[in-house]
Amino acid sequence: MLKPFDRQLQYCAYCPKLCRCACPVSNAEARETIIPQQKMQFLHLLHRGQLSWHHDFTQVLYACAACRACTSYCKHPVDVGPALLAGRAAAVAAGAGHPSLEDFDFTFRYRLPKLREAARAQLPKARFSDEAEGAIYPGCEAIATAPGDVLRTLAVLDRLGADYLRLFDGDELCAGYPLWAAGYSDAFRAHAERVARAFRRYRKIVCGCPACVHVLRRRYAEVGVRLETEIVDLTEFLEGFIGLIPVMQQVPELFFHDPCYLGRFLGNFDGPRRVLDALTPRRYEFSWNRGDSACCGGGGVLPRTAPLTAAAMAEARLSEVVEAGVSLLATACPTCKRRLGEAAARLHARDGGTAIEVLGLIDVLDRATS
Amino acid sequence: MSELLQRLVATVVGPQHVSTAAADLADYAPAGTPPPGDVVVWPASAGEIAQVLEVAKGNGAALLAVRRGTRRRAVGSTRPGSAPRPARPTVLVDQRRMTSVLHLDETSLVAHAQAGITGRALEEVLGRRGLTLGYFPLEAFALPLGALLARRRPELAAARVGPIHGACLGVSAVLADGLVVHSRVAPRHAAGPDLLQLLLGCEGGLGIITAAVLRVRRIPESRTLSAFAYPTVPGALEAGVECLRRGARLAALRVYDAADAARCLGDGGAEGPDVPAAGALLVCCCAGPTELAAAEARVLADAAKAFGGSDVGAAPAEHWWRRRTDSEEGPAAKDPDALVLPAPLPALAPLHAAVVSASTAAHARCRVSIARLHRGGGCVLVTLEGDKRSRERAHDRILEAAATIVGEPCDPLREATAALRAVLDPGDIMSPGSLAVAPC
Amino acid sequence: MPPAAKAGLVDALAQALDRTRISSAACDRTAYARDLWPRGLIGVAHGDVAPSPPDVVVWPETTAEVAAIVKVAVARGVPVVPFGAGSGVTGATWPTHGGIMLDLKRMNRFVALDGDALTATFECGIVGEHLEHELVRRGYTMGHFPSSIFCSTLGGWLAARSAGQASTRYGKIEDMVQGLEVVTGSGQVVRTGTSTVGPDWNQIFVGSEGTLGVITEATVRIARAPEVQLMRGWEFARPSAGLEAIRRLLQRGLRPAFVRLYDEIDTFIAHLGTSGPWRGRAGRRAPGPDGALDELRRAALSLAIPHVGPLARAALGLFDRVSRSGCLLVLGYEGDRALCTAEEQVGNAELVRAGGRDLGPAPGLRWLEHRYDISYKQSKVFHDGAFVDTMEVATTWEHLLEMYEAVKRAVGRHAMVMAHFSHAYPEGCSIYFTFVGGSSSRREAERIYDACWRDGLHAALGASGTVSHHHGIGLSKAGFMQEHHGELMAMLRALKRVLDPAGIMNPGKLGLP
Ligand SMILES: Cc1cc2nc3c(=O)[nH]c(=O)nc-3n(C[C@H](O)[C@H](O)[C@H](O)COP(=O)(O)OP(=O)(O)OC[C@H]3O[C@@H](n4cnc5c(N)ncnc54)[C@H](O)[C@@H]3O)c2cc1C
Ligand code: SF4
Ligand code: SF4
Repeated sequence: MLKPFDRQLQYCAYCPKLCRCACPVSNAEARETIIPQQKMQFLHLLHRGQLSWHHDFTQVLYACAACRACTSYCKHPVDVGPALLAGRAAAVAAGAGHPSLEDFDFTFRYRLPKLREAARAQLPKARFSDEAEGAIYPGCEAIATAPGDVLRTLAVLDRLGADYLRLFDGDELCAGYPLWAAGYSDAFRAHAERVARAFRRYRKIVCGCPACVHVLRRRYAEVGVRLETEIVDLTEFLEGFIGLIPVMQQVPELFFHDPCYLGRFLGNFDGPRRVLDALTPRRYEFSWNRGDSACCGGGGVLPRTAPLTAAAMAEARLSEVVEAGVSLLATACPTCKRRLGEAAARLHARDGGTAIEVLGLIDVLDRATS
Repeated sequence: MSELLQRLVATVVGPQHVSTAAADLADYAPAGTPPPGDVVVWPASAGEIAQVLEVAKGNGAALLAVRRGTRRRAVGSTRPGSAPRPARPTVLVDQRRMTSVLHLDETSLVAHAQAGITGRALEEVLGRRGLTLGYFPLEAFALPLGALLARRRPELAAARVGPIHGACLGVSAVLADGLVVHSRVAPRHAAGPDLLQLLLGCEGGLGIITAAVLRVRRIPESRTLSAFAYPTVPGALEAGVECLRRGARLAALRVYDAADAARCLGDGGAEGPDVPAAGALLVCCCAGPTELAAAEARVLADAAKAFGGSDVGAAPAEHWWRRRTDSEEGPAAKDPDALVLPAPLPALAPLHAAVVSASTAAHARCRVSIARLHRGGGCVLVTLEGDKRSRERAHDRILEAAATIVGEPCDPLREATAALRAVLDPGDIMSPGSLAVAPC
Repeated sequence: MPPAAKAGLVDALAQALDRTRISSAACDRTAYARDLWPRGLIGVAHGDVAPSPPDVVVWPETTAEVAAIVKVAVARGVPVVPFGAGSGVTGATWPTHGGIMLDLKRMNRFVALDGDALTATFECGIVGEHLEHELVRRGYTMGHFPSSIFCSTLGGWLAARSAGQASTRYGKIEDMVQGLEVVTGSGQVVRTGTSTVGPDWNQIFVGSEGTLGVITEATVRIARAPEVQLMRGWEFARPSAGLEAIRRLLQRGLRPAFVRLYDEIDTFIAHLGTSGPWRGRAGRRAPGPDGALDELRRAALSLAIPHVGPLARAALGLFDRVSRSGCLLVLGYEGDRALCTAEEQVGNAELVRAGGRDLGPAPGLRWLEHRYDISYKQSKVFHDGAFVDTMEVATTWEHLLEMYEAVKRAVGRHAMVMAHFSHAYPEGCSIYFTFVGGSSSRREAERIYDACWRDGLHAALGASGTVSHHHGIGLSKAGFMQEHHGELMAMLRALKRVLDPAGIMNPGKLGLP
């Protein structure tokens, strides 16, 4: 399980901690134990049998949002996030997983039919189709927590003339990122196979969540699951409409937050910016942006294993928006939208000041085109 | 007691280099005050000082480093009269025979000299080799190195170096336990705290400096002088400081108010350069390799103009330069109507304003310059005019204002300093009473 | 640490700060058990990852909490070790006597910026890259770029007298410091920088490596963000010619920001390092001298392990190629456009006069691009059982070549040595020796390692050099403090007694008890 990471673990074990400044988790906690180099060193030692697989040590593997910020600072480069997730899988196998993720594979499976029920209840029935040229796959976060966003996505797609996209119909409304991140590798593979089977009914899937896209494109292949369906990220899809968007009004000035999975994993930094630039007169950049963007805290199932840290990360990310007194923040990932939105509400309740509204790319399009 | 001391000390330095004569001792006290010690000794080396120290220690006497000078002030006392004369006998150590230049390293541009040599004498030696300590106020050169370094003197600063301490790379000193220590000379180090900084500014209280290693520089190959007139003093100051902020390493710069400019820079002293009545004059010297000095002068001119200055030609600046090299320009130290008020950069403008309003309130007139500017600060130089009463009133009010703006001399770790003295000098032999100041 | 002092320590500390910010968990104790002292890395390669764990780790958030923690430590006689980011290379944060590890990184606020006075105030736990980033986005720079900028803190810089790559223009950290807030070893909070009488306390706490107190906040000089960076490479036949050129340049009053002269071997490494394919992100950072260090590593190993015949031959080949290459000088100006342009012109003429061959801007820009790369390469060296370390010593120009030769000879008896000259000043320069050695046995590797340091530092001191220019003393050079300072050590011991009467602050470092 860890074999492919051997070399990377060696690099980190003796590395002078060169990527430490990038890690949003250890920046939030200021704890040496969970800087990327230390997490990797612990994994190295566990792997080499110099430490025993016990929660005392395996806990450090869970202090990671799998955001890849460290990798931007690494010359080799080492992909710390995925390595640590592989470490979690080894921990789970050794019975030393994270207590808050106990039986996660079970709860995950149990949740799927509920997701489908929720989708069925809140989204237009007519739009579902169990077979289509193209379908929209919103991702579990949106279905579970923001069905309104999905409705808006459909409306915008209609306005753009993409009304041919149906809604994916099936139990497999989650691509399995949480299983991968929680280290349930067997369950992940099994789930991936199911998803692949369900996807066969569609030629093209437009996916509303870049983390899903990464998992579908990359992690499935890793566990030997091949997809025949073309996977398109929603942002990518929207880019195709630049120049054709029926803009009715410009959206006020806003910040853009790079989602880790859209940016560092899918490599799409310019796409969302190009879309936004067609819709707003002024787009602000965070000073940490693109490859250096700081994670919202939503990745790597961190909100489950370290909820306070995850919340602090989102708040830290907002500080620059607060400082600039700008009230809109756009992003392009349902998880980022949710985490940052919740943090903005907390900050507003706590400190007052300008309320920051967090929007997805779709929301911005919606405002501009209605 | 003093005879015994004299005899014992004479065995160390030779009878001709020690004295108890009232006439000799009087050299070390301001006129009309009793001498600060009973025996004066003129040693020739650090070793001799260490031996004299042993003698003093063995006889319950204290040791005070002193110099003969215009102000006849002991090196060891912070302010005249602040160090009460100890009840025990005191041996005065004057290093006036210790004037050798020990090593002139022209490769590294450092000079190693004994502490008794005056800046002026050292400058002469250096000048013959095309070297200089730098553009410090001439006042700095009047002092022997030991005295110069034993107190912190923010007012003795050069534009590129800052206060003259910054030029010191190392010292030798005699500690209270008789050890002669030498700080290791290097451009920089990372070997713990900079222990040299305990000896510099320690007023002889932690050790007596017997030699110093100073950075020197080559006399610049070219110099460009320029002058600009401004409507106000703060405007001129801001322009000068802006140049420093841009990273121009000007060799010297100074701001005159209209009155001081008229007085100091006119031909023959009467007619000053053309400065508006309420205005000010900024004079600057750029020095170094010719092209670089010229480029610095251009940057200066740009900044000067951007801040509302008008170029008035080089003549006033040349006048300034002649004066500053011929004699110490600005108020002479002994002039009771003159004040030298060092302050950090941001405090200079408020201090200037306070000086002006204090002297107006006291019905005195004042001429003001802001000089000795460097990245960390500068000095407001004030000369008071008017009748005696109002001058005195103005003098007091200005000092008061300066104290509120800049603060009194202080030591944030006063107790630690005292404790350090107690550890290093349990017998309180070295310059007793020194380093006793207010906490910050 | 005696068990009596340990008992109830966590409870006592809980009076000073929230329990969630106190830990004696096994993973935390392991993580704080070493810094980046290469001798420790030799241990790591042999499975010894926690040579010196603390008993407790605490994460204070305010100066008041720091003071309260120190007071608890005083009352119980427990050591306190301030911890920045643990990037030190001297063992300075090893809690050799156990006790409390005081991690300052939760104190990382940007407190104030004064654009007129050009100063900025930060809490000391702020990581270098974050600090510089905060300044840059406001149009300023600190001008402090240690190779460890990604992994070190302001407090660590101050405590260890750090130097950055642009030190020739901006100075070392001690030249930048304007004022400090310090919690002394007795738990008293003091502010330096305001003093006009007595010792310059800034310069006493700078370099104190946690032995006198905890630096909690600092005001430093900053500069406006440079308008231009004018980089250029030069080739000199020999190090001595390059050094002479640098000396003349600086003594004429020029202040380039970057000055680095590589000796023949180091030049060779530097060249190899930049020939690889560009990788990493968006061209910002690219891989370092992978191949080069590989070759060196193999060469060093072959020296250490004589029976590896083919490798030894490869090593000889390497030396042969190296001795035929010249020395690379990288020089760069930054700041105001007009001033820098003029400086570069004057400087170029000077370098040509001194026999330099102008290589154009490319090598300079390449160096700038790769300026932090080399540090990534040490992993492989250690993994293979070899070690690499650096010895940074300084002296005046008069003694520089003598020191260079002496140290090279002394260390060269045990390991492979190369050097570059960086951090140049009008009166002298520092030399940064890199040495690579090794053995398959830990004992033997450590013996060789210690011999390199022992002989190297004696040679440096004997040639009027310093024991360290910017890495500090810690444990590794503690034994050389007496030789460096001579009788002045008495003053350091006195300082320790006064500021840390209970002897709890980072005991065993700086050659202090
Ligand atoms: C790859 C690499 C490259 C490096 N390059 C350079 C370089 O170019 N220039 C350079 O100068 N150094 C360099 N170093 C050395 C190291 O980064 C410096 O010594 C740095 O200053 C240490 O900072 P830190 O925050 O990591 O301190 P730590 O290692 O945590 O601590 C160092 C010392 O300072 C003390 N300390 C830390 N914080 C405080 C505080 N707030 N108050 C009191 N004491 C404190 C500690 O107790 C310890 O004694 C490099 C190191 C590495 C690993
Ligand atoms: S990811 Fe790269 S930079 Fe970070 S610790 Fe590992 S080797 Fe070092
Ligand atoms: S992937 Fe992100 S959270 Fe994980 S170690 Fe790297 S920077 Fe930290």
